[in-house]
Amino acid sequence: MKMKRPFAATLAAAMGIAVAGCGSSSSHSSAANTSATTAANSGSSAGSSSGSVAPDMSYFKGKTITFIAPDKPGGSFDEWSRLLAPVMGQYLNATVNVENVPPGNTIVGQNQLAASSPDGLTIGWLNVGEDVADVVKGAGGINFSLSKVGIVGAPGFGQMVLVAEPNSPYKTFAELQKASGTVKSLDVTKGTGDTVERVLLGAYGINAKIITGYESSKDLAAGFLRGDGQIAEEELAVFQNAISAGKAIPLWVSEAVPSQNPVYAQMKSVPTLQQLIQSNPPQGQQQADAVKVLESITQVAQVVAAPPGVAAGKLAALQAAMKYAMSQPSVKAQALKESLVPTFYDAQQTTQALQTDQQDAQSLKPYLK
Amino acid sequence: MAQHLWQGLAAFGSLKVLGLLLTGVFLGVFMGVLPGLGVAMVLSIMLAFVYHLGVTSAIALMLGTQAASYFSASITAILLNSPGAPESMATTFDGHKMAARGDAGKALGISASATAIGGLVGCAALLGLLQVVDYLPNVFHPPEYVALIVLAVILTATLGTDSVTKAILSAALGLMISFIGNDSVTGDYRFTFGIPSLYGGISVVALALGSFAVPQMVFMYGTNRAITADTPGGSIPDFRRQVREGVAESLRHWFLLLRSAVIGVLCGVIPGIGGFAANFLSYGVAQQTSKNGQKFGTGVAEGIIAPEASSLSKEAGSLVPALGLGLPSGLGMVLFLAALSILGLQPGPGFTAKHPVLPYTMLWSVAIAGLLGTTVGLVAAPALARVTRVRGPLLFPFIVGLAVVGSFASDASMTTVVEVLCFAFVGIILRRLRYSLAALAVGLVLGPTFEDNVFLTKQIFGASFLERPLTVIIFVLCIVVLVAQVIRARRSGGIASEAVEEAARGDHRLLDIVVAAGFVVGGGFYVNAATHYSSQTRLLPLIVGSVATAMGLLRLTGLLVHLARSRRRAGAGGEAPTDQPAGLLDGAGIPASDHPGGPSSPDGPTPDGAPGEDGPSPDGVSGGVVRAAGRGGRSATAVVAPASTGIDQRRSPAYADPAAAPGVDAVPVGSLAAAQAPAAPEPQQDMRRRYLREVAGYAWVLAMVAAAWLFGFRWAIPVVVVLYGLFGVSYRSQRQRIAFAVGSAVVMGGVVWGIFDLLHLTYSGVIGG
Repeated sequence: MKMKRPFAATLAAAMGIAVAGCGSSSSHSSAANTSATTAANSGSSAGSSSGSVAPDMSYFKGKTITFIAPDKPGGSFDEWSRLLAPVMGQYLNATVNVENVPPGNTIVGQNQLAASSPDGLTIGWLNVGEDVADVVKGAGGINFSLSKVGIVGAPGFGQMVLVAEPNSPYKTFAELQKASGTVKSLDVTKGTGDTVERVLLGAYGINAKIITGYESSKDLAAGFLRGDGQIAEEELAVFQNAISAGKAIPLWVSEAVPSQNPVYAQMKSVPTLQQLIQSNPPQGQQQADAVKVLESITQVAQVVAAPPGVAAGKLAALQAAMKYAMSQPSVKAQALKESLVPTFYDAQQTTQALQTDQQDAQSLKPYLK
Repeated sequence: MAQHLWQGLAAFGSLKVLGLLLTGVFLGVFMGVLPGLGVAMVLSIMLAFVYHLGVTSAIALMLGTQAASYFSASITAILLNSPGAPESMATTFDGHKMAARGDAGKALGISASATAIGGLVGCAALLGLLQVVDYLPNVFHPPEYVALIVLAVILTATLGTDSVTKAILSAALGLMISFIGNDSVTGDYRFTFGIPSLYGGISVVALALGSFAVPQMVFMYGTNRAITADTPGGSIPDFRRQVREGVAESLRHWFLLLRSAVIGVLCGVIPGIGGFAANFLSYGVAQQTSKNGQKFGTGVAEGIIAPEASSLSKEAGSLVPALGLGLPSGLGMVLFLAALSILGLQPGPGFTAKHPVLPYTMLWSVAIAGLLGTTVGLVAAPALARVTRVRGPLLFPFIVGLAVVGSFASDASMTTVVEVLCFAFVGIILRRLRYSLAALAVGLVLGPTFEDNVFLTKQIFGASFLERPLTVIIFVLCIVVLVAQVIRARRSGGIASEAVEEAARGDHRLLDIVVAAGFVVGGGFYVNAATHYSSQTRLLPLIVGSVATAMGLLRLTGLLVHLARSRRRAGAGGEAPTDQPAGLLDGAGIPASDHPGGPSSPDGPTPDGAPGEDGPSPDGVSGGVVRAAGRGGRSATAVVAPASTGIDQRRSPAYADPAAAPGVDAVPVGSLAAAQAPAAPEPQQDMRRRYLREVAGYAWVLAMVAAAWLFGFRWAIPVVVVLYGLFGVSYRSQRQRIAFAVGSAVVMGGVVWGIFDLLHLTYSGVIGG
């Protein structure tokens, strides 16, 4: 299953709540703002550290860095980690080893990262998007605060796409909005795909019956192809072949698809979220806020981070290494091959994204029941 | 098609591709024998190198590794009762029994030939299926999945047990465990107690290692003997002849082989069903349809052919959903698809049209690697088979150490190691009491898929799912099989038979009562916990938990009533109570004449007389009757010779199986054979000593896990192995003691450090860290 997108500000809020042991929605709200601000400050300092603090490159020479991928080999985190590790290692004159920690749907890996020694020799992924949804829904598991971790950067994780079955009456998003009856929409109940699907359909007032029970995005794609439902939403890579073969009609895509993508021709006229917001803004403030959060979720992908307490110079070196890796044409080319999106948000940009969206976290709640 | 087929084969004309295929075969064979680690570990390491390989080379390397591993995973299943992979669990039932009888070569010959021929059949089927690859996976919808899983459970539930109650309880326990973790219908977490490691559910690797490998070692530690008797450490006599016999035996059952291979292909084609179900389904179908069905579990050839023929053919079949939908049907295929993704290929609709030759290259890779893998495996097998002559305690540190490290390596979580420990405890008790481990495993593995598809069926089809012809056909098949099982059970004594079975192990009666009470109490807690979840999240857990509680109560009542009756009889001075040495008794305190089959029927073996209930079981029944019944359903009883007869029980073939020691599998040769060749029961004192040794064995496992948890694996495992070598094993000389302690610690230390370095695992323990 392709991994989920983060919404770091909300997670910071949520984690604050989790740590404080609060449960009510009102406390969520107040704690959210406080925590998210702290996270943003931390992130800000982390982001600025890459610019103002000299990277301590010499520290890493000859050392071994552990890169925690909180999924099994072959998962998106793992794919990105294995792609970045050798290049980051080369930049730092260090060895970067990928360690897969898949239990607990990424939670154990994230907790392990946060609890690791702050010597700068452990980095890993935070799957904040899914954690936000879990906390908003009242689940838990994360036992650290994002406000304490050091942000290294955030690469892209692939566009989300909403597709319709060719035999359904829906050929465009506008037609879907006008649907008279209930639309059968397929869903994997875990991950960012679930959040995006529920918020998008809910905020645009589409009367959908969400059919759940698929264990992974690939199971969902299989269900879609055999006609379990009329529409489905997941990462583009999951439906790429179906779109190419004319077995799925794209109605909406989170971000523009690069021209190198094999289905660029089919996708170039499909509205992106930004286009949709401009041409067809959702009605109501709460809906608009939710879609704004959605935009953030689909832009800022999972975040690479270091545990709390890593010295600024070391963190700056890690940030520089990741930036270097993400700028390499070979990395970009390989990422495209693996249906990963080689866009990159550095620590500062990631932090800004977190700050921008922190106010609207609770707007997701009505859709994530 | 012919052109693409030829082009696919021509790819192996390249020395690089051929070399990588051979490398894969060797890696698959030798890594496949390591319980818990196996082929998934190798494939995940390969991912790092795939970047530098071409597409064809990567296919040859990865599929070669995977295809070659199937037979090697069965080698340990046959020789050590420790499946190298969860997919080989069913192979242990008869494969290990045959090996324990001294026919390890034959069992391996059957396994190798069935795997290779099954693989070829699978590839032939794949050839046809590739033409319709884009359509085939769409044939199966959620209702068909539900029906197929029900069929799988019905077919496998009674494997390893002759009690319907215990079969239901085993399956219920498996299902209850399977509901732990994330519910993919609602997204809620269930029964996780706030432990994040449980959010993803219980590990199947932990199940395989915990309920098969570790209990086997504990039992062998208890008996302090080798799997097979005679000439410890010596070679297996006539190994080659045995292998030839095994191959001939496979060919003699050509129809079974063909049918099992087809079942394997079908299970592979259906995404989500996978190799595990293929193994059990083939075994279950073979048992239901064979004339020797009642002998299954005692070391019959058909019991090896069926699961083995399906293993590699399933792999061929699983290429269909993998290529057609991009949908993997197991971890191996997940990693293979990941490798293709790394190489820029996205399997799914239209893939075969875009890359017409690649599927045939895959087909050839599976076919060639399957053949080469079994050949290499057979060449290595005589050496490997020697382990069956090695005393259990000497194997113990290696197998248990590998199980502990392997379970950690499978997902870098200490929780999985603890799960192994728990499954080992449960496995020891359930095997001793003859619960069905097969039903437990099927329930655990297929439980989540079952639940998902029940809800998908409800949401998508509602009641109209019964209008789907394929669903109806499979459900009718379920009913037919169920009715056949009921008829068979009635013929063999039905409930009365079960009552006798209840009483068959006098010294386990207290344990039996405790376990039944455990089901009642545990089931009650489970139901209570389930009531706190939302209505959709709790539905199936509530139903299954209630069934477990009710069946546990039923069993508990039956056991208590039987206990009361038996005491009353003993008090009245009529017959001897169950748990006392008995003469012409049903090994249970029930007079043989009371049994429906009468005291002595010549009709042959009975299903409930199968793997050693009474008689020569080292369970502690110090005298009694081996019951047997033939196809006519009549029971036969035979007097078991008391210890004083002078028969050397340790030399007796019926006694030779240390796995038999736990009672469940005590009579490896079959009830009739056991009845014909009575062996002396184990004296009460020896039995107690063995039990104490088993407790000590489990304590060593516990020590290994605890030490690893506290200090990390790198140091804890070698240190515990040294301590075990010094204090846990008996030797002829002090020099042997030191040599074994140091040698085994060095070997295990090297293995642990190697695995941790290779996989970049980091765990230094709660104290060591």
